[in-house]
Formats: sequence, C-alpha cells, structure tokens
Amino acid sequence: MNTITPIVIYNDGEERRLGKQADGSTLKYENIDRSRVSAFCLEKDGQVILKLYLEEGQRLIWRKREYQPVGGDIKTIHLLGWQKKVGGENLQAICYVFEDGHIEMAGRFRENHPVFDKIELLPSECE
Amino acid sequence: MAVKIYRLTGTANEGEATTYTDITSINTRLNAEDAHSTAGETNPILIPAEGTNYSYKCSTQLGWDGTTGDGTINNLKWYTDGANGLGTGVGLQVVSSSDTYVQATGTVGTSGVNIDGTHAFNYTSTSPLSVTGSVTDPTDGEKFGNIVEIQTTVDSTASAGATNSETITWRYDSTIA
Repeated sequence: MNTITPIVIYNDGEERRLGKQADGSTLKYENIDRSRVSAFCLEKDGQVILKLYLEEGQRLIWRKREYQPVGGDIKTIHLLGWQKKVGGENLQAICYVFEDGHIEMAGRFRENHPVFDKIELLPSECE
Repeated sequence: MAVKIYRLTGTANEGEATTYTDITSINTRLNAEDAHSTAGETNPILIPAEGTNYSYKCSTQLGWDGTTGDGTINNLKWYTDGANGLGTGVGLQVVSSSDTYVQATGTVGTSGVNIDGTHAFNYTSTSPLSVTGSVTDPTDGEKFGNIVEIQTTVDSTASAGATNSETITWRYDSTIA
C-alpha cells in the first residue's frame, strides 16, 4: 500500500507528487497551493487508481489512515475527497481506497466508525 | 520510515535513559516486574488468596522511525477486540492521561501498583480510546502522543500459567506521503 503516491494537479496543468521532489525539496500536503488545485489523484505502480476533480468551494481532504496491531501487520486506507460548507453545514464526500484495491465512497464522516470515522482537520484545510 | 509502537521501561529520572522497546512486530508480556519480555516466566503475577493483584503497568507510546517525515500524524486511537480472552479471573485495564512517562512500581514477583484504569475491552474499533497528541514533521526516534498504560488484573479465581494473548490496535491518520 505504501506504493500509492498522492499527486496534486493544479489548474494550469502542473502535476506535483507529494513528498520528495527531484530537486531535493519537499512538497507536503499541508503546503500545496489550495487556490490552484483542480484535481488530486492516487497512483499505484504508475497507474492512476483514483482521480478527484474539485469544483469551486470544495476543499480537498486526503489522509492515510493506518491500523497497526501490536505484533501484527499494518493496514492502510487512503481517504480522498472533499468537504464544503453549505448553509452552515459541513458536507463531505470521501472515497476510501483499501489495500486490496477496492474503493468505497461515503458521505459525511461517521463518528467512531472503524473506517468512516472523522478526521482531525489541519489548519490548511480550514476556511 | 514508519510509525512504531514502543514499550517504555526503566527509569523516568531526568538525565537517565528510559528503555524504549519496539514492540510493533512482536508481543510483550505483562509480568510482576518492570521489564519487557515476549515470554518471561521469572516474575509472574502472584494469584492472590483474596482480592486482586496486578501486573506492573505496561507503558506504550507511538514513535517515528527513520528519516524525517514531511507531514502530520494525528487522530490517534487505541482499541481491543472487545472480548476478554485472557481467562477466568484475569482482566485488563487502561489509562491514558499524560505524555510524561512514570516508571512502573510494585513488589517484584507479586503485584504491581493498581493504576485504577478503565476496563480495556470497553474500547473497540467502534468505540476506541482517543489518545491525545499529534506530531508534525517527526524526526527519527521522536515519540509522540500520550502514553497508554495497560495493566493485567488477577483475582483469586485465576489459573496458574500464561494466559491467552490479546491484540491491541493503534489507529492514526497521516499526511506523510
């Protein structure tokens, strides 16, 4: 699952992989230019497995959700979607990418759900 | 680079080295001593004639291993499978209230000091324990989040010998690509 690479696509067509860049710099998720983001995709073994197109007012959300049992194997789910404030209410649409390749899509976060549980927003994700 | 689970033992005195054992891929046994082992039999918890004895508390914490991670790890959760499989007269309690390590105490080979925790099997994947803390751009060896202390409880109805094992799971969110 660690072979999944998140890629941000800006509205001028520029594509940037998150993490270490060829010039030695680093692009962090927290530092992407949200004013220019038009899409975000997850790539595995060189193939795009999920691509999200954002519309105006939709704020990008991406996380790796990791489950680590003591003495067991780690499992990773990638969360990719958006949230938007409508009439004072936060709406979300999130895709959950599992290790076996299947993808589930859900609306608002469900508190304490083992998969769809809410995230803790980062400052860069807040309006 | 990856998140690891550590068991903390030994001194908590300033300037002295606490022992951090990486238990991510192994088990750790809760005995009546402040030490990690996978199958130690030297200082088991003494089954009491009445009342309850305890293991020494087992302090665990997350940490970062490897080159500096570029991003944030937060939303830390901790849970069990919800079913006590340790056997008759044996329980497990948990406390997570601080990121400051305090060494386990008690009487070696008899009982640890009661941490007065919550029934650990109340915490499941659908009702996990929220662990306070997060880390941004973690460096190699950096520990983060509150310490989770677990402790076995043993009453007079317990049977001698090693109990069955139980699996503890940590969950967290990361933006480190």
